[in-house]
Order: sequence, then structure tokens, then C-alpha cells
Amino acid sequence: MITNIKKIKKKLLIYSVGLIIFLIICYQISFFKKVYFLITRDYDSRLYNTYEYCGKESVGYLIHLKKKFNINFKIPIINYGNSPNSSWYFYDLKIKETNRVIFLNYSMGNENFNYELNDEHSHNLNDYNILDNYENCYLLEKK
Amino acid sequence: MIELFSILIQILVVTVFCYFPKNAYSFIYRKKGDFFQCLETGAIFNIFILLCLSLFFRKYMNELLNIFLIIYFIFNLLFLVKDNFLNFNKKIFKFNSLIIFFFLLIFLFSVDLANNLKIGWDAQNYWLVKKQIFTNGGDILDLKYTPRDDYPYLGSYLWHMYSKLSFLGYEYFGRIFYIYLFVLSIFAISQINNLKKIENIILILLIIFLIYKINLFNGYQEILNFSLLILMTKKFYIFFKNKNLEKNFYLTLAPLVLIINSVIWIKNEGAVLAMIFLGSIFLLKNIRFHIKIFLLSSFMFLILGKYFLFDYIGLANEIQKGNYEYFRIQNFFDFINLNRIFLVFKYILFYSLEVLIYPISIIILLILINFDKKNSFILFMVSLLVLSSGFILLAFLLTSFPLEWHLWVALDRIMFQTSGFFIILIPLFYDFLKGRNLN
Repeated sequence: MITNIKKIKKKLLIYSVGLIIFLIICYQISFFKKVYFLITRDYDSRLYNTYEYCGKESVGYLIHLKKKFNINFKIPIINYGNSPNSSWYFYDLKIKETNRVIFLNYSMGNENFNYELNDEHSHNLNDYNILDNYENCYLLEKK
Repeated sequence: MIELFSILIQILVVTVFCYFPKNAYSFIYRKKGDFFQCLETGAIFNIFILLCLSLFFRKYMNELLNIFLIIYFIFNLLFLVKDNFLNFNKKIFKFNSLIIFFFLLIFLFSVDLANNLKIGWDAQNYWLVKKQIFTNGGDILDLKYTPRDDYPYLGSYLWHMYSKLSFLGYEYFGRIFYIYLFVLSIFAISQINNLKKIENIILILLIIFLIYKINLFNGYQEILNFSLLILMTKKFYIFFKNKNLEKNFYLTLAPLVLIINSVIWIKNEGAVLAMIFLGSIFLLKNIRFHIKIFLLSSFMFLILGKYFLFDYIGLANEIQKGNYEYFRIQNFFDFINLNRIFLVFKYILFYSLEVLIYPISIIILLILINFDKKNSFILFMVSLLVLSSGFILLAFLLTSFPLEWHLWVALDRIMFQTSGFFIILIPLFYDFLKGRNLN
């Protein structure tokens, strides 16, 4: 009887240690908060919170454009900043010829951006109608 | 709620695709495999099958590919049910705490991933672009239009396939496979010795506690190679321990060869990692010569196969194009000098605090050598450590990029990737502490 109780106590102790370590991991990655976010926020809102709105990849601005203009085709994106081009955000949209273009982190003075190599679209804002603008991010249409 | 449910379904879908029939497992290893052993072998075969699919199916054969995937899924599902559920009454399938714990951990990390969707710099520039080629209906022949066409594409293809096989089709569902492989490899390695379930769980949690960061799954490919290196050392350890597996070594070593193949097709440095592994095997006296020749010739065959396939696809065959273009024998001392060596060591020391497996492995190896100098497997691990360190040192000393910048951005990833070789030391050390013989 006593040995049985001892065995149970030992098992209980070991399982408690396992459970505590597991709960620590849950706590560390804020598991329960994240489950709540996963239920209450859609994919785009979570993406929106992960990236900057208009800065670096500017995915937040792309989400805003997609919703506001109901974009259902790929629009070329030029990122004048030092971050990767975020055209992957439009991956599931169809390819269509368009006279629209998106400028992210627009600046004419970035030493790391090769203006001559990226000559498919004019870098002069005067050549476009501005359809939408937030800080250095633009949705443009060729005049 | 739908997304949460889809994550659960995705984990089950990956499980079905990664399952390996028990009969086939016992045909290879001459013994019955448990759920995890079937799963780890299945994952290795699954990656190989997907590689073959990527090579075989052109963009106009999409429907055929879908039919093949459905058949593959149903076939595996039938075996999964037959092996584990039909004999439920005979208690062959033990719905044990370890299996629940396995799925719970994957679910936990998947939820974490779903809330940290950020894709890493290189992943956005290279790996995601390759994935997009497949997602947009392209095939391997279109990869030549992607940046860094010298980079292999298997990881991106797995990413694409598993996001395609998901309900909602979001890209991160593809990365759940990365999580799956990672957790599976940790489970596989912690079961090399017959421990009690609770000991296993604590060991697994300890290893995961040491390694896990959500950034590991931001689209970088290191996590895949890390997990495969863990499985590689495990498969070799099992072969090394059981001398009767040598009888049909070409069969028992087949999964090991497939892992080497996957590592080569995931990252360029995979070939070097495979060479380090095979080099260490070659230094072992108690591995027979014909087995070494078999492994070497398989490796040569795989490297040549990759070379010719890259040539056929139209991809560059240079390794790390641009990274080493300025290195010449004439300017040898510009690259290898005390200042640079000191700088590399400084960064290795600094990053060891981040990739904790390295200092822990060194401490474990020092203790184990002290107690058992003649243990061949420990010597094998030592040679892996020496060769890996040599590789890291040379990879950075010979770089054409500014050394400090290159170390800053890449050393932690290389160290993390190679640390997969040494995870096995943790369960071995636990065994040692319990007073068991490592042989």
C-alpha cells in the first residue's frame, strides 16, 4: 500500500514537472492570447500588425489599397527603400496589363536603389495621377 | 475559428502524407516500427517523392499532379488507419501521451506562427519568390527567372505544396510543414534510447526549450536542414548500434541516402554538410569499407544528379554565386590572417550564447570523452564537431563580402544549421547520466 502511494506520488511529481515546463512554453509564446487573436482577427489584420504600414515592406499600405480599391489583379510595386519587394502580397491575384503602379518608401535619394536599372516606370511623380497616398507610399496611374 | 480548425486539419494532412506503412518499415529495418518511427521514415520518403514530383510534373500536367496527390493521400490514409486503428482492440495502437503531446506541440507552434507572419529578408527575396513561381502555376523551368538561380528549390517547393494542400491556402500553412518536421525530428532523436514516456517528454521539452524561436520558421531554409541533420545522425546511430542492419545495408541506409539528397536540394551548403557527415563516417574504423564505398558512391551520384538536373533546368551550377568570387591563391593571406581569424572566433563565441547547442555539445563531448575514450560514436561526434567548425571558419574567412557584416547576418544561421548534428548528444548524455553504456 505504502509503496503504491509512493509510486503514485513519484508519478504525480514527474507529470507535474512535465506540465509546468509545458505551461512555461505556453506562457512564453503567449499561446492563449494568440488563440484568441487567431479567432478574432482575420489573416490580413494579423499581417497588418506584423509589418509596418508605410515603411520597410509596407504591407499594411498594400492591405489598405487592396481593400479600398478592391484590387483583384497584380499591380507592379517599386520599393525605394532597402527592404525586399512585397509584391508577394498580391500572389493570388491574376496577372493583367495595368497602367497603375505602387511606389513604396518613395525617395529620389536612396544610394542603395538603382534608379537607372529600374527604368520600367518613371520615377517622377509628375508623370502620374496620384490615386492614393500615405506619407511616402503611393498608388499611381500613368497620365 | 475556421483558421484554427484549418490548422488542425493541416496537421492531420501532413501526418497522412508523412506516414510510412508499418510493413514497409519492417521490410527495411527487419523490426516493427512504432508510430514515430513510421512517421520519421515517411517524412524522409515524402520529401523525396515531392522532389521527384517537382522534377516530373510540368505546368500543363497540373490535373495529373492533383490526381497523383489524391491517390498518394488515400493510399497513405488507408495504411495509417489499417496499421493503427483497425487493430485497436488488440492494443497495438497505443494512443499514448507522447502522441497527444506531439500533436499538441505542433499545434502550439502553428498558432504561434499564425500570429507571427513576418517572412525573413532572404526568404522574401529568394525562397518565397521560388515558391511563388510554383504557386502561380509555373514549374522548375521557370526558376531560372528568379533571383539567385544557383539556390536549390526543394524547401520552397515543400512550402508551396503544403500551402496548396491546405484548406485556406495561406502561405503560412506551407510553413507548418517546417514546424512538423522540426518537432518530429526532436521526437525522433529523443527516442533513440528506451526511456519512460515522461522522461521522453521532459527531454523533448528541454531540447525544444533550448532551440525554439518563432523566427526559425520565417521562411529561411536552415530549419529544414537542421531537422534533417538530426534525422541523419539518428539514422546513422541506429545503423551503427545494430550490427545486424549491415546485412542488407543498401536497404537500411536508403533513408540516410534520401536525407543526404534532401539536404543537398534544400541549400547549397547542404553538399558540404553531407561531406562533413560522410567524412566523419570515413574516419570510423568499425564501419566496413564496402559500406563507406556505398555511401560515397551514392553521394557522388546525388551530386552529379543535381548538377545535371540544374543544367537541364537552366539554373546556375555555381555554389554561392558571388560570395567567393575575389578569393584567389595569390591573395590567400588577404583572406586568411590572424585578424580575420580572431574576428571569426569572436563572433563564434558571441553567437554560441545564442545557439546554445554548441557550448552544450562541447561540454557533453568533453565529459563523455573523459569517461569513455574508446567509444567510436563519441569520436565520430568529435570529428563532426571539428569538421563543422572548420567549415564555418573557412566559409567566412574566404568570403568576398565585408567579413564583419557577413558574420553578423549569417553566422548564427550556419551555426544553427550545423548544430543539428549534435542534438543527439543530449539524449546520449542523459543515458550516460543514468549509467547506461553508450555502445
